[in-house]
Amino acid sequence: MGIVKPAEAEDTEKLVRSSSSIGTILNLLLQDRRTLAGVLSWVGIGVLVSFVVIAIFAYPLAPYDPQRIFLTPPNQPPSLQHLMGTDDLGRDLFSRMLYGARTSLEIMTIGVFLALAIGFPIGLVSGYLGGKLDRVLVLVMDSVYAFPGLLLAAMVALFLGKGVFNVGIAITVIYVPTYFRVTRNQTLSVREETYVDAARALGAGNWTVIWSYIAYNVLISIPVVFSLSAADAILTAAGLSFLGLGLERPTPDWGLDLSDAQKFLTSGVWWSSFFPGVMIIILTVGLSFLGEGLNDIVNPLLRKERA
Amino acid sequence: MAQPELGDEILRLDNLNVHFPVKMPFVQRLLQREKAVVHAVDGVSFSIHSGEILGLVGESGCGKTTVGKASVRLLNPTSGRIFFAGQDISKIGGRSLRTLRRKMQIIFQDPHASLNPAMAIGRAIGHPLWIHGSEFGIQNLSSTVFRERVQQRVLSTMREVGLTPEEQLYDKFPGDLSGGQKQRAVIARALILEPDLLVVDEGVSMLDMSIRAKVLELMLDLKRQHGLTYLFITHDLATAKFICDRLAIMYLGRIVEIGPARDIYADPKHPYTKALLQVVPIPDPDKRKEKVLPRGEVPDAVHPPAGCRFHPRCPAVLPSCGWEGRDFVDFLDEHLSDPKRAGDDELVLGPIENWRTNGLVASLEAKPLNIEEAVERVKAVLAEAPIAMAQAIESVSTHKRTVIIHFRPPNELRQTQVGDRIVECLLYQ
Ligand SMILES: Nc1ncnc2c1ncn2[C@@H]1O[C@H](COP(=O)(O)OP(=O)(O)OP(=O)(O)O)[C@@H](O)[C@H]1O
Ligand code: SF4
Ligand SMILES: [Mg+2]
Repeated sequence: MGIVKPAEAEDTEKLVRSSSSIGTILNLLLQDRRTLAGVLSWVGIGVLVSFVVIAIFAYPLAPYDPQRIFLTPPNQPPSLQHLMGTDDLGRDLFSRMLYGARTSLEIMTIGVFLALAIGFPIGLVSGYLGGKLDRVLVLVMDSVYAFPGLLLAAMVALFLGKGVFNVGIAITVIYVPTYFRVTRNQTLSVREETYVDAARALGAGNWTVIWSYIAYNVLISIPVVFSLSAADAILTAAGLSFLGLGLERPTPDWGLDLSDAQKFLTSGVWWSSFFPGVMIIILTVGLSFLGEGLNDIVNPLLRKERA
Repeated sequence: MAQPELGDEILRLDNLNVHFPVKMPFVQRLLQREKAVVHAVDGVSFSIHSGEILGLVGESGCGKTTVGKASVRLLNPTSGRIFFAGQDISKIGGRSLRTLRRKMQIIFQDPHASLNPAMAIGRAIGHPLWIHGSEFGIQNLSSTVFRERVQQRVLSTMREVGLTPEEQLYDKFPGDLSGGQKQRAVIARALILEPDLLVVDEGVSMLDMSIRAKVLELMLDLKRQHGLTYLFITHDLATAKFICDRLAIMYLGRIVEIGPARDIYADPKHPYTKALLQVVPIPDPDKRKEKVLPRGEVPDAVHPPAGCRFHPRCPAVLPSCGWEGRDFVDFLDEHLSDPKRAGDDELVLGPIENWRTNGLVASLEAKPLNIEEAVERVKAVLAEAPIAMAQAIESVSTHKRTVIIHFRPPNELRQTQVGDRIVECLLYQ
């Protein structure tokens, strides 16, 4: 109950300054450029932005049509004509990798955004209102969460059939519980804030409190989950394609290409497996870096805010 | 200056109780037969009249905030009743409660924590108007007309509480404001609904000294201009003296003295009030707690002391004030921990964990053959104990191999009218 010394007060305020939670994170990212967390985050952001650019500009960037079959013998090693070589059907791997980025990001975006759009509001309401509804939702979400992700996605994909959108849905099912849990936990702690009491004292009803006083302050913990689940989603999508449950041939897709290339690996054709694998790894690792970096940046912030 | 005419009764608490369940591990909860509760507020009654500032003063943890929150129904009373402008609001809920909130507002200690960090100041101050829009006869909240009107009201309220330059601060976020500005914003937000009652819970204690006086002045100004009524909660008597018409002194969930502020400052009656005003130093409260807790006994508010709750610390304590078994054990513990005084008492009476207490009784299963000596030692220790405690003992007896100390039951404590105030102390009964 001691009186806050001005110096301390200022310190706390520097961290929670600025308009919004997203704005706060951006500010911190700029401040923390030199720390490990900052470097990780910026590397992650760099990777993500590059892949988004590649996906958007696949058409002008790619030297050839990804479906075009060259009549030279297939499985050409990397050369100046074909930077990453050709695959077993004689298609240019480099072009397929660029277009594959588009496929991956499409799936990731559908899956992760839908999961957020479903898990976030349910987590908010469940966490704030509590009671029986909350207990039932936690039970349901926990059971889905306990299921192995790839197996669950495989089952949903099998049921829905192939295609970018269906794989997206399969991934949504895996991640709804993740967003639900994170949102709910954060809601439980924001709910105890004095400003929530203050809002109730003003006469705000449940919906107003949730919407105007809680939602935005819970959102701050989302970017971390977002990056990590996006990384996971890329792997899962690749896994589904590899298992033959994801996309239809001849869609340019890293997982599909990897699956087709593996039988030639023993005869020394390394490039057609190597490059899809590398693409998957770079994007996944980049997103994980971003997630871990943000986690280190956002968590102390959450602690400070609560102090 | 003549006592101002009392206005209508705005708030009345009638034997208010607020108990909280004690947080404990699940297994322990299963094993415990009766539920342990914190008696945060235990039988508090008072009323506040229109245009008055009632100060609620007491040490940390005595239940002031709980009274404040229950008064505006942010907490549900365990029992007792709360009347607001004559209406019993202790049980209402839902829409009727939300509508009523317009008339009673609360300001918390920490202005920073009271503001949503993600809401700009202007919007935060105007938000109550959006919340209650329909009660102002406004159907379409998104209409430009309404938005314009809200903004004008917010700006004029900001000017009124000295949150200037208001145009520039309107779009700032709480993180960009100083502590004093934030508290002004919180006041503006409470004021914009034109409430009748304002509960101010330690409203200035986090502010710097220089700003504190200004914010207090502001509260007084606002009271005069809007005919506001305050329940002003503070642990700081200097602040209370500056602003309050009447004072209620609170100790461990109860009000021990209530009356006109000036009289209480001039002539405190209750020993606790005297101690607070530093006429008499207060015995260290933490000593008792530190000793009690490690022995597995419960903190004061869970099992408050018998009789008068202040008796273990009271400098004027009487034999009839509520002495009980654990008071003796506490004293003995203190005695044994001082080797100079204790000598070899520890061998006969220790270790302290062997003592059992149950209400008015304290007992020790003595080591074999020592029973007579144990009784002698107890009597010797009692000779050094506070006289009031020693006199409260009815008997020191033995049963088989157990030494038993019986206390006399305390006298019943009643609230007594003393002149223009009410005091809860046996000295005045
Ligand atoms: N939600 C709660 N759950 C359990 N115990 C509580 C709760 N709120 C308060 N208490 C307990 O009730 C008692 C009174 O608390 P309260 O906050 O009303 O005291 P206070 O006089 O306002 O203290 P301070 O001056 O420190 O603000 C304390 O013992 C506290 O630990
Ligand atoms: S009743 Fe009065 S004298 Fe007795 S302990 Fe309480 S305050 Fe002291
Ligand atoms: Mg308090």
